[in-house]
Amino acid sequence: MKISVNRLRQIIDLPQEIRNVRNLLDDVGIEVKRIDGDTLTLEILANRGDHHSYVGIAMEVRGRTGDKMRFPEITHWGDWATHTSRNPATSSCFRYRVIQVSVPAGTDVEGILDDVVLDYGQPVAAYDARYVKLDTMDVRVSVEGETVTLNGQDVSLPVGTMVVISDDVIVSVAGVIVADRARVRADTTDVVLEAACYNPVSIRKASRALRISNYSTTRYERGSDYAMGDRGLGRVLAVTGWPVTASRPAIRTWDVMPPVPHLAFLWSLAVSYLGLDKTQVSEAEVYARLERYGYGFSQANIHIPSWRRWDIHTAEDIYEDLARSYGYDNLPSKLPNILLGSVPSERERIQADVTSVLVGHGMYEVITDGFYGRQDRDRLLCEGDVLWGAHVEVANALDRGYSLLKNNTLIQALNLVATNLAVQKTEIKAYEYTRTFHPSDDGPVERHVLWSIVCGKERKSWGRDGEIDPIYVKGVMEEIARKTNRRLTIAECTSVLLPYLHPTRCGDVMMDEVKVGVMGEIHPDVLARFKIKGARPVYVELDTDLLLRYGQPIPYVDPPSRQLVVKDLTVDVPQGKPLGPVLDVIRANGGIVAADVIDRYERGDVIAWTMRITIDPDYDATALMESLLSTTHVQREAP
Amino acid sequence: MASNQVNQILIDFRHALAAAMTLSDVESIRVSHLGNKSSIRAALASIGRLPTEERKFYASEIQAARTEMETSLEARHKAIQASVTAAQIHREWMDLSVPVTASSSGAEHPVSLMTARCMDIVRRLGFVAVDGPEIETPFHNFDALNIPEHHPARDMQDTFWLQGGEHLLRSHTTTVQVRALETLDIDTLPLKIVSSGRVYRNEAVDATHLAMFHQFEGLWVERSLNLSHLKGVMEFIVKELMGQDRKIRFKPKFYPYTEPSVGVDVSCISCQGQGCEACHGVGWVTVLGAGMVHPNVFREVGLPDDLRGIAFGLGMTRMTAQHVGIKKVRSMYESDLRVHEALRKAWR
Repeated sequence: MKISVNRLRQIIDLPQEIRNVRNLLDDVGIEVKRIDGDTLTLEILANRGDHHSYVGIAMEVRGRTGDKMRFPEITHWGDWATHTSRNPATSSCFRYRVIQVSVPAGTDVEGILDDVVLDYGQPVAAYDARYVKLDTMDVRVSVEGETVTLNGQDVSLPVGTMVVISDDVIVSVAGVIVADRARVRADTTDVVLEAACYNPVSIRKASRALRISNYSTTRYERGSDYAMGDRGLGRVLAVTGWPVTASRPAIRTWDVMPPVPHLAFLWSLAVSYLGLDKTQVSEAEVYARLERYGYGFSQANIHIPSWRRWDIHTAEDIYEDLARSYGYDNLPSKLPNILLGSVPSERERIQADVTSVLVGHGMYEVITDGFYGRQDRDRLLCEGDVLWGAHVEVANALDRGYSLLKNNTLIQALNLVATNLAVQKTEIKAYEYTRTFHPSDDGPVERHVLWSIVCGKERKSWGRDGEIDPIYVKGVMEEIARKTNRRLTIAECTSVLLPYLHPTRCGDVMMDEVKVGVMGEIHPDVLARFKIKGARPVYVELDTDLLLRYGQPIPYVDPPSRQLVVKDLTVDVPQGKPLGPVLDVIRANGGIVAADVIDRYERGDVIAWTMRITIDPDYDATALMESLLSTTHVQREAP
Repeated sequence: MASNQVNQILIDFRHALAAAMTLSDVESIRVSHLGNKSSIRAALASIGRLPTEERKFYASEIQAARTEMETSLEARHKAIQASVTAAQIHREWMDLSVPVTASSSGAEHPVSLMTARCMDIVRRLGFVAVDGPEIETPFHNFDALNIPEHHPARDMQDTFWLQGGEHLLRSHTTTVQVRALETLDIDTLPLKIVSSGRVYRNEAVDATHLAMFHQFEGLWVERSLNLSHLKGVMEFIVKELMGQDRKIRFKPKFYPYTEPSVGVDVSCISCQGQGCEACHGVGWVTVLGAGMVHPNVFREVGLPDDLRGIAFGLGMTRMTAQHVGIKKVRSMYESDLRVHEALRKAWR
């Protein structure tokens, strides 16, 4: 909302310096977003419809400063004091007032009203009197099939929309917009002016349904002042001098308006709520401060001012006004008593450990959206796949890229690889802690997931680069397992992601025999669909609820004090057969302290793995090695 | 043995040593000239066969010769060693201007780092982190937070509704606080929790607006709390986060679930409160929203009326973006790793 400082000064005293005016308004909760000479652009709080006017702003300033106000002049005319109760056709209209005035031809009636109404904040609608009959004007709700022409377009009104009628013809959507048929024209000389008080919810609904937003809807949907209607019209008359040629009694329906809640207010509780020193603040001072905001007190009752009818519902709302009267900065400030601080939970500590491994291996944490579009889904998933149809769908996404909640993180991982390769970044290491979403009969389910994708080269020294491959990633997993006191193994892949992974370069990630996730190189067909060339990304997806646990620590044992026996052993393993079971057999032998793979050599249809076997000196090393030979069908070579 | 015999041993030794070019040459000479089978050892052994009056003289000659040989051997050894070392050093020159081979570390996302920093601060006050679902019910996202139907916050344009209409994506992490209040055992007060993470707003997306971003919200429930405590806690957090020398101001705000509601501003770091482009001329930057928990929130979850609560929240995404100096917040949520490498360097 834009206001003129000079115009506001006519109503209440303000500091001379514009910067101090800004500080004062900020202090009372009316934030000044911009200053352009005399014009201030304000951000009004959503619950303060009364601030959408000069008088409303001035009253807020008065509450803070206690200064007197100079209310804008209004014109009274004879029959203001005459009111007849009448029940309108809808219970959402609490008060309805119309008068007829004559205006010179060519008057910009709407333009004048747009400005004048800002004084008191009472919207005033204008009708061409040739098209409305004052005595037949009434308010009702629309029924099925009713339409009205607004801004040149025929609009179907949602059933139950509050409308103003004349001779049962719709002449406006109440509180929102005058219909084209009844709008003031250039040759209009008789104008009906309308001021009302409506149920804010009705106005909001209509405004949203018709997608119309203007000063009237802004004001009415926050709840207008039911006592303001006459003053609003009186201000128009005072400014314009338009003579009143006809009027009718106001429709007033106090009994259908929701009753003012009875609020129990104890001044001592208010003082306590604000943390003020009760010995320094008196009951009289509290009442005097609140009276500046228009509250009235009689015996034990507190009277809510009419313009605050819609936002004062609890005693705490009144405490806020008391706080504003002091200025929030001037209220006391102290820390509550604190007995103890807190420490990270076990899960947080484990996550920090896991993160340190990932970051230590050069990975960057990324954050991806919780959703993707159907186009993304179809790029990876094939119709008929388990994952393809199992999405939680968004009903009202503004962007179709947000139409599906993600049920896997592989799509975004692959998009990440494609994005980075496109900018010539070939070394890619990324991870994310996130969630995937899955439909179920009991409602959507969330899974907590840690995913990572890596590709590129790992430099050992100049001239010796290694390609990042699943064995590298297994190493990272192994380090995570060690950090959490668990043993890592890779088992045959049973994951739903198997169709999208290289079938001979993937596996389930097991920690202490519990499946925590899956890892593997991406399937060549998938790489082709994502147009990823020259890279062989390896992907990992782990269930964090299973990952972020500790295993049992291995009890400490002193390292041996005597010299261990070290022998090298070469094992021929046929191509296509895993080394793991051979190592397990070797390590299972008593007396074997360690069996570490130190070399690999491809020799035709076998791979020769050389291991450094460390043997407890209490054992017969020679016999042990011969035993290994016979149990593993190995070839032995002396060190 | 005559003196000229000792002299000859020395002459032979000197010739041999002069020709020694390597350390193994020197070692060979040592063995041959000072070892068990050397001439000097034989000479020493023969002293016993000499007349008594000649023994002393001869023994001192041999000892002198031996000393000379040992000294010369050591000197030659040192000289050759120095030469070998110098050659090795020269040969092994390494160009240290080339790029490194040790792999560099990665980094956590700045939002995670900022969250951790905030967590460290509030832990000193006794807050603990709690988690909750991102898919929520309208009750937890609106009704329980004093946001009735037809409230502007319920606008269809702002909320991601899921098919079926019964669930939505949470638009704030306050939902987690509601869940904590639902299970609150009054006897365990005070309750001090932080809920942080992703939230969703159904908005048109551009460089500075996102459909998904991060929040960090806290809740403290205890019977004795009042507005002065709210101010105290906010001042503590802001000063720990932003610096003890930053000025702070409090202004009235509106949030449906707090009353009074408070906005916490800090003086703009660029202009120290004078007004500049960075703060749009205001001199202040809003960093936190806070308030006393609205009694309707407690009522909605069946808690007694005498409870008091402090609630606060900050936009983690925007705060992080300001901290690292990135204007297009959307970049932080994209997958270009060059951005993340630059963010790591910008983090302090």
